[in-house]
Amino acid sequence: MTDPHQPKDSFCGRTRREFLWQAGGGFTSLALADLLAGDGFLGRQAVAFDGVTPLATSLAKRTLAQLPHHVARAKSVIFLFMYGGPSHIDTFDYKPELFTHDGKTVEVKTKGRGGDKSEGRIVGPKWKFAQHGQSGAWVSDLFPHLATCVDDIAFVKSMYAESPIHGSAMLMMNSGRLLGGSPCMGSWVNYGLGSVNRNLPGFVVMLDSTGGPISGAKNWSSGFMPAMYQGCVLRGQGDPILDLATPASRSEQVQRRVLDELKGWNTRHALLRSGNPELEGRIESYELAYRMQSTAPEAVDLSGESKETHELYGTDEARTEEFGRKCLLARRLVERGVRFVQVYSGGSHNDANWDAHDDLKKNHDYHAGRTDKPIAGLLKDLKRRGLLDETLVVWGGEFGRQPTAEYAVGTGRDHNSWGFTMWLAGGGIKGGISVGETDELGSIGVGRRFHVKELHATILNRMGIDPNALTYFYGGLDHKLVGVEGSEPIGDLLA
Amino acid sequence: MLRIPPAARTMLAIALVAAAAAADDPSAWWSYQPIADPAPPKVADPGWCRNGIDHFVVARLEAEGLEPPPEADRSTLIRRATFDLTGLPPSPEEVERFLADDSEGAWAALIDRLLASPQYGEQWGRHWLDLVRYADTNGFERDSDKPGAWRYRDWVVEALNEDKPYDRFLVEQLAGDELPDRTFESMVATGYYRLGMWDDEVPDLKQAQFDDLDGIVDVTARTMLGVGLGCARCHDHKGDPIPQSDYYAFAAYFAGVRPYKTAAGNSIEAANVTRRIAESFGRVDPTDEHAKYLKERAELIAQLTELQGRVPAPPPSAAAGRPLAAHYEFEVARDADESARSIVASSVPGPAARVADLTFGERGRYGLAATFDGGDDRLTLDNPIGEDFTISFWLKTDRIARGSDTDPRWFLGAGLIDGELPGVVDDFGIAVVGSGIVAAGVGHPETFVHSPPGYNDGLWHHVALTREQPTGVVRLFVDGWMAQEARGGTQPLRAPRTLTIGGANPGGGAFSGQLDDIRLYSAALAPREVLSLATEVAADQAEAIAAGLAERDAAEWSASLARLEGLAPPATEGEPILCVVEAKGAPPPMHVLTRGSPHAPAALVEPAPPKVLGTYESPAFEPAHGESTGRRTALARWITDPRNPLTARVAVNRIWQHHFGQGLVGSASDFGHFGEKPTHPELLDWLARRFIRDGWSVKAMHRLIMESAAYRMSSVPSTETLARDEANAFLSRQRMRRVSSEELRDSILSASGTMNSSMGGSGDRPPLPPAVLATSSRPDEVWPLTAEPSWTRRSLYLHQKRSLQDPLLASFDQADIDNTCPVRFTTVQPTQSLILLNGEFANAQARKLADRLEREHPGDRGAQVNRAVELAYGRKATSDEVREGSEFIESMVREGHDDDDARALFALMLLNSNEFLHID
Repeated sequence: MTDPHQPKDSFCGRTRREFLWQAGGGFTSLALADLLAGDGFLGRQAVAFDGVTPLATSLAKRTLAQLPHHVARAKSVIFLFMYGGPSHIDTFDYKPELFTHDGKTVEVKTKGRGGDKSEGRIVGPKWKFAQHGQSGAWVSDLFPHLATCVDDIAFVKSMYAESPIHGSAMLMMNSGRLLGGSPCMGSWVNYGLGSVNRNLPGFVVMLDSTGGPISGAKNWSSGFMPAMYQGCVLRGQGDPILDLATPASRSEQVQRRVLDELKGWNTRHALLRSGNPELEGRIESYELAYRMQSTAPEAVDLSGESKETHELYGTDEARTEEFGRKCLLARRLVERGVRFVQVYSGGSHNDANWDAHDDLKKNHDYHAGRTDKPIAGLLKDLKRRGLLDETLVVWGGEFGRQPTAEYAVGTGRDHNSWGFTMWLAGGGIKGGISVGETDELGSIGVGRRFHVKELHATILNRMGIDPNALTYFYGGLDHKLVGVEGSEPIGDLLA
Repeated sequence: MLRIPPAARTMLAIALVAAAAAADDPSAWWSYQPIADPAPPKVADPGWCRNGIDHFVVARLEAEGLEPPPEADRSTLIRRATFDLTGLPPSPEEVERFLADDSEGAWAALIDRLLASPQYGEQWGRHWLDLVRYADTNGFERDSDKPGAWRYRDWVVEALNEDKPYDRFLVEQLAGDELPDRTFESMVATGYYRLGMWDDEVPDLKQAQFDDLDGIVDVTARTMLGVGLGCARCHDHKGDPIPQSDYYAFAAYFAGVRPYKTAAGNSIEAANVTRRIAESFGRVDPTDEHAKYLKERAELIAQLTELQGRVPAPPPSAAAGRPLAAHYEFEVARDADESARSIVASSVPGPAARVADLTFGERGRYGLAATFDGGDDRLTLDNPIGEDFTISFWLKTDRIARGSDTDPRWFLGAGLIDGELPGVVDDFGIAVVGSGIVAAGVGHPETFVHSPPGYNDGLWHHVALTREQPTGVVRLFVDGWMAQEARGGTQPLRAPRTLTIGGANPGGGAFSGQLDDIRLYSAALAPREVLSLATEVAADQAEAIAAGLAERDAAEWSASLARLEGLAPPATEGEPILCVVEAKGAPPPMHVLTRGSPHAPAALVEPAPPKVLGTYESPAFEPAHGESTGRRTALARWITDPRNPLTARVAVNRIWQHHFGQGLVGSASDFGHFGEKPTHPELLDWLARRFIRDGWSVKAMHRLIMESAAYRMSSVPSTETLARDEANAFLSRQRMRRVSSEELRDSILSASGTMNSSMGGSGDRPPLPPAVLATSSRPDEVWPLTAEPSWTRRSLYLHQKRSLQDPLLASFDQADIDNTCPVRFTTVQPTQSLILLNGEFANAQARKLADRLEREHPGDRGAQVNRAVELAYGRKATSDEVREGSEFIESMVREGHDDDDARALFALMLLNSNEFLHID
């Protein structure tokens, strides 16, 4: 096809800018670096990749164009989000004092959904602790399977966040801010690095069968970034992505015929309208969508996995089936180049997640019981496939829980954002270590405390991104995941 | 693939700009200078020009050695104009009429018709709502409704339709409550201040209040002035000559605006953000129907009480002899000992109530009352009532509770008396929902009853719920008046063993306010018995009292009692509207905050405009109506002063932007050093001057722009223009644009002929895919469907919920609801193709379009294809298209689809096609 309007200086009839745009027509598009990269393209352009912003010689151009900023230690992240806030002092942060003072009322400052308190009745942990592995990490009986993986894990036991309330704390853990409207971690990673696999979304979220977390889609929103960077909810059963499947009433052959007809009409339309790369991009996008209709179901089809693998993840047991499937899916997704996978344990409200306000034992037995084996299975499976080195696994909730009881009776614990535990494994993280600590009751981090932003900085760093150089200009500010003032990775964790 | 508005900038660029700015005079920046008065330049080819605009455009093209392009064809023009002004495609009949009208005035008449159509306000209202980040909910954990926010949306639509002068449009939003000629509508306009996100359970109240204030400052400065003032919240602006103190001086104009709340608990304070105003407010004498009602009621009660006092042997007290199973009077002193504060005994034989964290000793309706803090305060008791019951109590609250005014089902609100077992049906509960709606439900399927809103007025109200098993009748009374009666099931209730008071069970919405005199009866009381409990008028002893009175008194007693029984709160009474409310007295002082922290106040500042713009005096404050300081009026007058260098420029640039796909200043909300310079600075000033001279008429500006030859240019570039002006900075052609997300959905509804064009009112909730609902933490409750006819209203009216978006709109780059959005993204992503090709909405609508084709041209394949093209593209089909479309349908029939299905597949293909999605 010869287009009489074909511009000079073009690649196969397209300007380089068009070419980049069209190449970026896939899920989450091309990496920023590719968009901004060399060969005189930028020098000739008055505007940035957005087609709008004037792009003079600039630091952003240089820092962003250099992505990754250093050698990436991780290609993908799997964030296992224990929604509701698991109790650090009943899981990994061993506090012998709590056992001995069970039931005693002591002076201790706490702040949770019930407000500020200065004393409370100690609730002793409901599970025994023991040391495991060569590293001797303390793990409670809640996680017998995970206890066998501790030498690959780095615990951060003095995490703190800025809110002890679910809504704002969830937004902080996911987007770095207490308020809505900012892009989430997965959006930032894909904005910076792009997706390796154009046929799959670069930021995938898997939710609990009871429902999403509080604030729903705000937890995987791209905020002020374009919608292509938002998380894509993926389901392990049925139609994996919204409207991926052709409606049951038409065959694949008919679907193909509809697309062929569409292509014909679109091509005729484009012939008379050169100079608008979007038209070409949209034609391509339908072909990509069609390819995805076969590639995405393949990615979520677990039938090819061995029986042994299924057993490893616990997909053969009722209790662990749901979370096991999601962990196995997460592995399959990172194998296929998905950058950021977030898996929620728990959804909805109350005891449907880790929010143990009433009966701690019942709540945590339930949620740990559903996730322990799948998570251990994931770590082991990644490791034996050589994927753990390039996959950063992160575990934790939006905050931890208080050492004291919330109510006059019962074992429920209120929220605690002053001190809690998260752990990381794989992807350039030192295994078998623990950094930071809380006071003798586990009520607050003491000594070196780690803000959520430092966790974010660590994750970006392992992905090869300088957390203080990945910026996005919106509303007069260079926004960063780690905030305008910046943050540094947790150095002790870096392998 | 994407096009992004301003992005990717750098600290170095900032430093460079700052250095350059410091070298020169930073206040010498173009946009800070007075608006010039340029004459349209002389051009070599004046014949092309239709009005002044064209002289500026052609002069630039001539300077670049470019030829002005040809005019677009007429079907392109009507489609472009119709989409631009109404957001909808032209109907084939409209296209036909326009093509047939070759008179001189056809184009002007078309513009007039479109500007006069009510859909104009809907389309341009959407542009404004993007800027002010309009939302129907507050966000965060509960993502509760903003009561009546839709009134603000409707006000915007109406203001545009009536061509309210732009200066007045701004003044009403900023200070509609302070105007001497204020009306209901101008009060509604101040809903502007309430559109931001608000966490009703904040970790740091002061911080949250300043974040909310920051939203107001930032949106006002960007939207009305094109100034990135928000950058100076924490430090001096890095690009513009705006010191940090200017930010706080600007914020001080809003210092008196009361925040969403001033105390703990998971609710917001009604009195801070809403007012109850009748729609007649400001037009007729401000008669307060509600006050009249209260007065009449009080007089009747006084009269009846006095009369019954004349009976020598007063009859027994109200509802005496009825089976009272528990009665809590809360006569517990604040400093009572621990045991008295941990258990509340029933004053009749009945279960004691266990206390979790209540406050006692506040003055109650009778004696003392129990106070619930909206947190974990609860009472629990062993349920003493069974199948027939009456729950009676007194309630006082001044909060907006959890839950929505448009969906007042009790379990979505703040629990009062909860007899629900989680997951178990056949139970019951009472709650206060949203703006003071008392709501209840009983049985399964649950019978819901509720009161009107407004019982969160900080006064004591009596509430009673009765249920009678043999008839299934459920009645809800407020202040003795039967707010609603419903006939429910007669099946036995599986009432739980434990009742919860003060919160929904378990751990849901908590009540913030006071309760007193809780009575639980094991029988359904009659309406007169309830009235007796609510008023102290012994209505249930009416006959006995009448018998004991003198004949005249007895007649008066009966007549007045009948009047009291029939006295309902006025339905005309104003509903709570979301608006600005200022604190009485002097507003709190405003300090510069060190690094933006509200916990580190520094120097005191007074309200003042940014100094770099302070080239004319700012107006004095005029306290209005004794309710506020007049600061916001002063700001509004300063912003709309014709001498303001930015207001008119920013406004005309936005109008231009939506006619040409891009503003003359691309960074439409930033005219400062971080923004872009205008491509046609003289044209911008010429337009701004015209705008002010034409009385800030937005419609006059549309006419001016649309009557230019520039607007009518073809969007197809020549080889020459593509090579020399690839970015179209010189306006060498019109810009082709993709339809917006709303335009896409509306066009589909329009093509299929199913659009319901009714306007206004509360937001619509049409069905969403279950997969989308499953992303909510309350999949079963988050999206109660509105009535079916609302499902096909324009997208503008979709309920704008922060935590849940329509997937079609979200995917096609709807503005992010939390942020001000001056320019939308235009992305191309495969999810868009999937939703439009496989989604239920698109397929159902394609089927409706197919049915329409068959209805309008039964059996005539060729005519059907042509009609479909007309409806989708606004032009006649070519003979090739008719042939190809017909062949496609035939081939689908050969694939085994019936005729209707085959036609629907063709319709679906058209709705996915580029020509449908793009405007030339």
